[in-house]
Amino acid sequence: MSAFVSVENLSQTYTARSWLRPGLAPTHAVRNVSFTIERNTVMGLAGESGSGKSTLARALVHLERPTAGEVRIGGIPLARLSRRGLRKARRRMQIVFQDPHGALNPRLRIRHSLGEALANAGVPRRERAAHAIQLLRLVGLAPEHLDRYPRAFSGGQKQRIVIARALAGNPEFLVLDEPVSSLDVSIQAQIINLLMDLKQRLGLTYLFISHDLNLVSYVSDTIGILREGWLVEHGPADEVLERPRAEYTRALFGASPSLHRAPRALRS
Amino acid sequence: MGLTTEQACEPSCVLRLRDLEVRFKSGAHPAEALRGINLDLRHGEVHGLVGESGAGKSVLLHTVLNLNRGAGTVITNGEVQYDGRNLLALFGPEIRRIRGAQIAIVFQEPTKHLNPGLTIEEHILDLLRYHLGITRRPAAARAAELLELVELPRRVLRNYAFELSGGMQQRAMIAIAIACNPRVLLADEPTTALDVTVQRQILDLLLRLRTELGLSVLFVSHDLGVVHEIADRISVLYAGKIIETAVDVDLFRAPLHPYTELLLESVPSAAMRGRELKVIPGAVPDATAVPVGCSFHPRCPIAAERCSAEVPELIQQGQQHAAACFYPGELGARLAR
Repeated sequence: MSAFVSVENLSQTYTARSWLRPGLAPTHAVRNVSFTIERNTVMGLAGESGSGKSTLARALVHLERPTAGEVRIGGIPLARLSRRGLRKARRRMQIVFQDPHGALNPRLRIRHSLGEALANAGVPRRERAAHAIQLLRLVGLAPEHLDRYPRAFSGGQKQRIVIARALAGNPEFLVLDEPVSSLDVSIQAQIINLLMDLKQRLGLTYLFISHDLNLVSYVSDTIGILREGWLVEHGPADEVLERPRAEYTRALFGASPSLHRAPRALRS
Repeated sequence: MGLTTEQACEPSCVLRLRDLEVRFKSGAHPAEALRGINLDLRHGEVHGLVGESGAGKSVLLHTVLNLNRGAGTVITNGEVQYDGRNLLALFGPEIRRIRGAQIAIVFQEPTKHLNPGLTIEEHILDLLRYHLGITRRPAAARAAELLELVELPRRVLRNYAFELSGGMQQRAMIAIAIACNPRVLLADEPTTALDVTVQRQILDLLLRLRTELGLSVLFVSHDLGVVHEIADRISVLYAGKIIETAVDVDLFRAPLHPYTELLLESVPSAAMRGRELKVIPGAVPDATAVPVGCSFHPRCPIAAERCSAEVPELIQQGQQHAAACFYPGELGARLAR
């Protein structure tokens, strides 16, 4: 019961209603998923497109109320919170999405993007500038970046800013939904190292979602595999990597391209 | 200038790029997309071309097909030698006879490149009529045969692209590409948008077709893992130049260029667990402001004075291994110490 994040029998079902086509079958995007994440660890979540990864992420922090099931973060059951209570609880949990270009308002200087987040976190106006500089430093950017617009930044830098903004309310739990998928290989490593470093320094807990199995294998303490909404595999990373229980996990890892596999010429 | 291959290109080459340069006019400074590419595509090989975004991968493929022709906005130098001719010197119907017939291309996003108003069959029939003058009935038989070749059910012929899943679309696109029995297949990140299991199927399909049809494939990807899975030889592209070329095994076991080396070490995997990933500081240079000297020197941990003044040529280092670096293999040696 000491787990920092606990998810019990979580389901998310979408029912499309249309008078043109009555009786449409509901879509079960997430089905009866349960798991826990210990404080200051990383749970990696992998699965193919349409397996429910992002739906699970959204339901987890109650961006969408789940159809059924319970989520507790730091012991607080989210379902029982009022809208206002939920907004307050959200400071402790944040999401970082895949596309940093879509996540920053192009017409706001970085100062104001971060300022909004700091305001939401209850930081008084006069302290915000100093806080914003701290946040930028935390993610490896400099104070002079404050007065620029998002267009002045590369994808990797934008993702740093998005991460800085997510950290504005001193969260304890971050949902990282494909945080490096849109970045180049050499930039990916910078952001992954940054995230792992922040986790250590700030004692953060992550749900790290990615379709890239190599990446999930690298960052995770525990690994979950989703398939058609079911959590078909879940356990300590070493176990999942060496002795996966589900046939599907094996197939997925088998299909994943790897630099460490013997080259084709030697295999055949 | 150029590749110092003592043994000029062997006769087994299907496609040769010589000193290929492409510049796009943009504002005050032109964007130098390709800065002297020399590449030989050998008969029957899968040649992988890796690079990060902006390295010039797609421009290179488009240039092979002579598609980069903006009115006065694109400057192209060098040669694309195919079948004794320079494709860059061909115009109108001459180049159109080659495009799609002898040199075909498969793109990353099939929905963008297939006509939404045509069925898969109509795509194939159009091609067969235009290039080979085949009439409707025999062409329809050939279309059915092609679908079998890419392992799609025959009913897909009547489908429009949007009715198919991503993997099926890519198979359909491959079927269209190989319709006229091309000698060369250009593949521009054909599996990037696909899930790993589907990606695996498409890679297997391409390898099978290569053998069965004797295709030579130029396969572009940003994903080192994918290229490692499919390519016989690999060229690494950085800021519009090939900085290393080697047989797949050599490139991954003993990379010579610091960029290749760092790139390989920056890829996360289970084997890297608990270790910090290698990071290449900075970012890929903008094509309008490529650094003087070796374009990688501002990010290179072993850059010396010479690197910011002179441009290293792509020089043979071993039997089948070439690198454009004044200190090839140095970084690895230093790290090992």
